[in-house]
Amino acid sequence: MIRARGLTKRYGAVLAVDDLSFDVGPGAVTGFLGANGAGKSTTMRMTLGLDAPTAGSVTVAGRAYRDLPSPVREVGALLDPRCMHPGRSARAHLRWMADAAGIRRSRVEEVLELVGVAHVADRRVGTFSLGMRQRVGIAGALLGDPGVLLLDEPLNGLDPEGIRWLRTLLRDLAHEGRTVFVSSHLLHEMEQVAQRVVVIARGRLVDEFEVGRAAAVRVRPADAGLVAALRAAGAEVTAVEGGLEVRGVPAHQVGELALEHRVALHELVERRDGLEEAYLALTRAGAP
Amino acid sequence: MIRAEWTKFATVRSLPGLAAAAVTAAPLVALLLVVSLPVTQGRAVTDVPPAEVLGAALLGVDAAAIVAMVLGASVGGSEYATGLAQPTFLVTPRRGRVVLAKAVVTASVAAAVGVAAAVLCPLVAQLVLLGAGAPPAPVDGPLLQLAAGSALGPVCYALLALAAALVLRSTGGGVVVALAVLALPTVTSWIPGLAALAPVWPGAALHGVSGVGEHLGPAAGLLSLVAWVAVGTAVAVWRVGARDV
Repeated sequence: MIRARGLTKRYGAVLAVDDLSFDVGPGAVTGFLGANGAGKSTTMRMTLGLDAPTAGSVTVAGRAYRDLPSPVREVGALLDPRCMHPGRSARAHLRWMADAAGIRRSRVEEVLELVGVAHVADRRVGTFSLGMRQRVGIAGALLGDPGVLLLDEPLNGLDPEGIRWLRTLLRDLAHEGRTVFVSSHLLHEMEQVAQRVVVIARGRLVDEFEVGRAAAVRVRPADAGLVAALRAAGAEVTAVEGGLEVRGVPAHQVGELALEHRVALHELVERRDGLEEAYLALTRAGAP
Repeated sequence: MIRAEWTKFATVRSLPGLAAAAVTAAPLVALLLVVSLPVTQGRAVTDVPPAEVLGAALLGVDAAAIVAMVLGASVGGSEYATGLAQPTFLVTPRRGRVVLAKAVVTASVAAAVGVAAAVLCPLVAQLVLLGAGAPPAPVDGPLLQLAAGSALGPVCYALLALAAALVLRSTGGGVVVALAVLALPTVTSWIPGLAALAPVWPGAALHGVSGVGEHLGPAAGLLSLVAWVAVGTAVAVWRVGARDV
């Protein structure tokens, strides 16, 4: 559980995060969407106690990060995978983390295996590709088997196989009841992995919604009896050119209602609005 | 926490390498100083009192102190140079503990370096004396005190360099500050008004502990060293804790 309230960060004249409030709950992958420079990383850094907010507060697992008694066991984080000593091996990097967090060293071998870098664990991370470093960073985030995960742009630098692997991993982690908060500017990737998204632009919250809530059904003709029946079934019906747009009722139910009311349908199409369209619409709305 | 910082120290090549370089540099410089005595003092080694020969050789420990400065500054500065500070403070958000653990690891390594240098340097001098056919210097109380005081030099300067590197977030900055603390007593002694500062510097304190102090006795010297290191570390704890990473 992550809870931000009125979170604000000002760097001199620049307002990087502006009165941001949102919740991220357990059991789902929550995407954190925004263009580059929208304030995603700054928000995550404040959440993790690296930067102090100018105003407002943010808690993880019920407390400010700096007040967590055993942060690595409660919150796993990956920010910038380049932030490692290039002269240290992947295994040694994870070992000092385990030492500092009081985690047994055999856990290091488990996470190395889990992220698929066990075979190169003794190579210096300076020789690794960005994708390999991402995996080492994810291993570090999983070291304490935490209930909350914050990953900043974890898909950067991963090859297609790696992206598929991470998507599955994140979904599995969420299914285990963990809170998974993943930032990205790659919309189509979020669409495939996140159940919920928090969208920010210029440091401000634009919207938060369930992915797929925008699913709409296009129906022709615009029969008045059908409209009444759909509304009675709880649908939101709007007239569009030559037909109807129906939300809140699945396509098969629209078809059944049409049959009941003896309306011959000329068109019945389920249109899943892409997250990208929703995102662009939202960020446009948020523009000054 | 100390174990984690020790793991960090031991798992890159450069830091243990610097410790080894410090231990190597000391006897080499000692040898150079002893062999060049005829030039610097205009007397043959055999004509110089053996205790003075050993005293000259112990200046080799200063070479170890300068390498230990680089080591201490690297322990602090590399966190920021490589971005490692980010995972470090994620794992340990109570940042003061990280600074203190680094100070303990740095002090331990520098103490080992200091002791090794303080044993090797007089040994080199004794060998030179024996080689020149002169009687070796007696290992007596003043010599042991001089060696022990010299061994504290690397510890003090490494810790000051560590603190400065953490405050300035730069290895180079840490080395420059520690070098300045080492060199400033000479500079201030030239300036009439500032000459009064002479007893304040760690150099004067180290001489005091070594039993050759012009300004301070051993107890006052030790107190002054502890104060320097404590103030430097406290400033580092404060700055590292207060700033955004």
